[in-house]
Amino acid sequence: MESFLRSIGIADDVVNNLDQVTITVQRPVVLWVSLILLIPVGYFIYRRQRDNLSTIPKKYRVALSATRILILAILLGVLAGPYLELDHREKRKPILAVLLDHSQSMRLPAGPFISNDELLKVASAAGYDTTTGTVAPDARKALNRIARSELATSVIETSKPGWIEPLQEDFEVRYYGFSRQVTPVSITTTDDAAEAASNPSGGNASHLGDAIFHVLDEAQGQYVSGMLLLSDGQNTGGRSPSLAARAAASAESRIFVVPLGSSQPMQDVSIVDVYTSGQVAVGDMVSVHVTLASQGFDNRPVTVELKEGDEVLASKQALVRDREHQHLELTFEAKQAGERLLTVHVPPLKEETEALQANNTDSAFVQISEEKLRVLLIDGLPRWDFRFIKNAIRRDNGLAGRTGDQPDIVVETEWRRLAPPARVAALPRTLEELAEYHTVMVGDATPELLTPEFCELLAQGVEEKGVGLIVSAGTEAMPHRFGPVLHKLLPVVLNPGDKGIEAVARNEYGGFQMEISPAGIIHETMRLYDDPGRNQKVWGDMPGYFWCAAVERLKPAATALAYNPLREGGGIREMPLIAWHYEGSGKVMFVGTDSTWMWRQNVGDRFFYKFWGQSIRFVSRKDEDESQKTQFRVRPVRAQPGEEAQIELLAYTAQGRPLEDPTQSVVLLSPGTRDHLTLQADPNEKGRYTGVFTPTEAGKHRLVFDPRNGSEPVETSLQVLIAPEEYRNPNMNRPQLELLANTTGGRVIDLDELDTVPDQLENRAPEERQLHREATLWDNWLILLILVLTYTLDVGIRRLMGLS
Amino acid sequence: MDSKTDNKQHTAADPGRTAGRRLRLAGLAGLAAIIAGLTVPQSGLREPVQAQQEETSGKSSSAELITETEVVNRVRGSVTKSLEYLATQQRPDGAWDGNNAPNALALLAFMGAGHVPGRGPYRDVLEKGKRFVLRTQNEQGVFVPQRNAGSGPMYQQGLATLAMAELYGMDPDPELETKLRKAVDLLIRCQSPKGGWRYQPNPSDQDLSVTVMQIMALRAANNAEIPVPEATIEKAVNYVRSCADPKGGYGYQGPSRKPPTSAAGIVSLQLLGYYDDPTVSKGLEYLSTLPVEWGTGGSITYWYYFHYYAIQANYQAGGQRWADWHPRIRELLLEKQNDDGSWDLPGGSEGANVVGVNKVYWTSMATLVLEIYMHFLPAYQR
Repeated sequence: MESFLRSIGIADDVVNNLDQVTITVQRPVVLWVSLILLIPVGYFIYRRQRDNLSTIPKKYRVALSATRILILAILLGVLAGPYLELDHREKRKPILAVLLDHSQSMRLPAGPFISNDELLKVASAAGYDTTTGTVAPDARKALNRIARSELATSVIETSKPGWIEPLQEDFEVRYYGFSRQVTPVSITTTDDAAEAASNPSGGNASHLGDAIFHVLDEAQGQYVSGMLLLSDGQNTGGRSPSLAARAAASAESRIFVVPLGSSQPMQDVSIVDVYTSGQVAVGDMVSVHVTLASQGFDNRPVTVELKEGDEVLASKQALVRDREHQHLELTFEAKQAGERLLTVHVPPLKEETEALQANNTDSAFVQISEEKLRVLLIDGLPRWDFRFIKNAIRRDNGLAGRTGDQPDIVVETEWRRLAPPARVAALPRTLEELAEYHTVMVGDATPELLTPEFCELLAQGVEEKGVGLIVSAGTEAMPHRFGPVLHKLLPVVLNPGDKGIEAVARNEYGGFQMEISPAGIIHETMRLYDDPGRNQKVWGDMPGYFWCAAVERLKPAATALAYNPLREGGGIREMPLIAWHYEGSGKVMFVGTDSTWMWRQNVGDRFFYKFWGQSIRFVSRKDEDESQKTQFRVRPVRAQPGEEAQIELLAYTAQGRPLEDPTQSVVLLSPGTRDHLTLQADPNEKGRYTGVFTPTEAGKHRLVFDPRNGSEPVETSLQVLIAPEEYRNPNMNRPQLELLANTTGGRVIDLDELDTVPDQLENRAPEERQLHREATLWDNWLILLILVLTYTLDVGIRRLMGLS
Repeated sequence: MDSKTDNKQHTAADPGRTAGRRLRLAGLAGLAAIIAGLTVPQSGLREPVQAQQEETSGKSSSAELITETEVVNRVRGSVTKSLEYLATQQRPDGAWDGNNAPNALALLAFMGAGHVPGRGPYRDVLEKGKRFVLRTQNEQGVFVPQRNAGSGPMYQQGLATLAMAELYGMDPDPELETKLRKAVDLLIRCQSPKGGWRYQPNPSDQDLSVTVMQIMALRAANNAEIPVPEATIEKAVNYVRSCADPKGGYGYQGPSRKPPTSAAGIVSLQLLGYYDDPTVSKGLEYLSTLPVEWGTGGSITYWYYFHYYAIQANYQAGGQRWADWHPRIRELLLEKQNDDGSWDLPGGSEGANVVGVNKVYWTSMATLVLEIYMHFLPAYQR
């Protein structure tokens, strides 16, 4: 019954309290009048049928009358608006959420368990007989092979009668399984749980932070007293676990972690990191930096190969040493423009288990450009962002100035010291001069340098000539001291006259924490790693920053790539921090903080300049012949099975005019299959079409667009890889788990201490709330089905009897 | 003879040579005096140095190889503690000492962890510290507190100019810009004909130790787009090269080699873009032979000074040199940090004229060494 009610759209709250539900109608007068009228009308129908259809058998005549009366009754019933009404006081107990890690790394062995004590603890927690003080040989064998997820399930199953079921008197115990997504799981038998663990929802990655946020969000204000997290502590994507732990601490929810997996090193050689700058020019030497990790091997020689397809571009020998990271640099010359997928591979050593051989290969994309982009960088003070960007763009071989080999740089503090004629000549004076640049980067310069005339010129350059513009906010002037001409260019609306927001003034003593948006995770400007999950993780781990521009909202058709989650009015406002949009023919990007230099922590220019270098290229003006050619791209460039990819097509005729059809069809060539996808036109930009698809199979997925207008077909591709992320660090990550526990006031619970959890939970009295729910009964598929069937019966009988 | 043995002979094993060494090390002792605080009488200046030289014991580094994130978290934790310590040591007038060298180093330590003027929990510390240093600038352009005016102020000048150059750009204070430019002009004016600098703000003499401080300041200013003549840089480079020892390393005044001046000499050329200079590669080779120990048997004098430059030199060199060097000094410093966030001299010479404000110097230096992982200070970028 409950399932049936849910299937016709009745809400869970109503279904769960059926004994307190009443049936009522929105228009009782209509109901009563209808019922009263239905009797004479029904009789009238019967009489009319009897008189007019006297030649057909009585049973059919009665059936025809009944169908008509039934249809009439249903329609009158719908008119009365019947619905279920629930009014009751609900007691909401504190929640204990049990979070079971179902990611790929949880399929690795939980052992080895070296000491007898350790084995005894595990055996006892997993429900084996340990009363004799020893573990039976069979159990010992099973435990040393048991996967981490299986052990987690066994432990919970064993704990149920002991402490979980008694705890349900005072707490609501919710079970969740998580990998890339979070789903409620039912643990009634070990087999159910094992099934859930072997089919994780949404892929294999571990998104610890997302799981914690999910529990808090789903509680909808109900007090989450604790979370019991059974995990190996690996986190390979999603929102930052430390941010999630801070959110849990704010909600006074403690996280108790049960570490699963051995801290004993498994024999493994793995590629834990592959890095390229992502963008180079033809003729450059492309450096691919590889970090190799190993455990359980000492001075074993390996060969690290850099490949494109089957071609080996470079290789290096290395001696792997126990528990040591090694950094290698492999180089090759960029000879051809275009996107290149590079693979780094270390042949597995024979001692490595099959599962761990997945981490011996990784890949990276490099974009090789033909021509140098001309860039102008303007700033007010020599801020730290300016100093780092300036040096990085000077080193970037793909960039140049309007006339020189290096980008043009103007800093206001030195500009002020120039003689007047030199000042005038420092910035472009005509549209033609400005349009020679592909990208203009504007920092915290004042209106003295960026005069209203120059702003007009800049607007013209962006809107008419497609010059790319990056505006980086600052405390002195940008953009709060500027007029509407500059503000019109921006993808965001700022609070007028507001100089920005300082973290300490908002009691954010650790600084603001940036959060990458779903669009940002796969956007080329924000791509620090090709794998979207890893990309999200690294952005979430960036250090806190202390100042940002006061953005009010995103403009229509603009895209936010990152947010600053601001605490406001008891909630969180996702304030756009990095955003872009099209303004006329050009792209404009806004960076709402002057502290991107903090992204240098631990990695120097690596992430900092990857962002800026990619942004410069993303917004850059396309040369005239190129800008009117059909372009086709898919984001991300690399995905895991089950991850959504976004498609963007800029479609032009052979004469360079944008296509104006409402949709375009593209061919998707996935491994072994061929399909068609329909892309929808972007109402804000002529010729732009977008769509999404979710690859399920690993391999190369090609997308081909044939404009059929004389232009050549264009294609793009997406590499779908079963990510090696999960096996990069196969050991249990105890520090990560400790961090979660310590941040929230919880603790690390060993397997033999699980029964202490109830004592550590804060037992608040259940909250009571008045619940009022209404669920309509007429607007569902069932009523429609009855109507259709009844009418079909009526028509069928008429046809059978030869009636018109 | 390996360099370690060679050093031991020069420092502790041969009393007869110690007197000669004293003369050669007089300049570096002067630095110790200036940085360690002028309240220490001249005769006592050598005590901290000797304390370092004589310290041979101490726990060895117990470096365990851990992942990068864990390293950064541990380093951040340590730096947070040390900054809390430094903040508690600041005087109401904004100074940590009447000498601008520790004042500048403390300011750099805060900035090295990403704290900049006008924002964050240390905004007031930075503002007060900056105000103090700016107040001390004399008409000539030297950042020197009045009571230090009689001493050779160019160490202070180099460090204070470096700190002000790093503040500049993140702080719109017009006084900061004016005084920084004045200080940079002074540095350019005071370069000796041979290309170096010495204790006094005039172009009469030079030594490598003072010179490197001025080079770093000029580099930071130039990075902030304040013009520095090409000729100044070229002369400075030539002077540093003239101190290179043919066997690798750099001397205090002319070709010889000592660990602190060698590390400083390498960094100065690297920061000026001379990464491939033959004297740099030889110097790095020499550096790699030196021990990274808390007690070094006297082979490493001016321990913090040496490590401040040595980690920069290895970072700038990158690759295997960096990989071999940084875990050792990192683990050593993490292990030796006091509970209050400060550091002592190797050997923990409590009561030997090394407590008090000197701890600010050592703590700032140690913090700056650890902050190499942050990559925040623009002057130190590769």
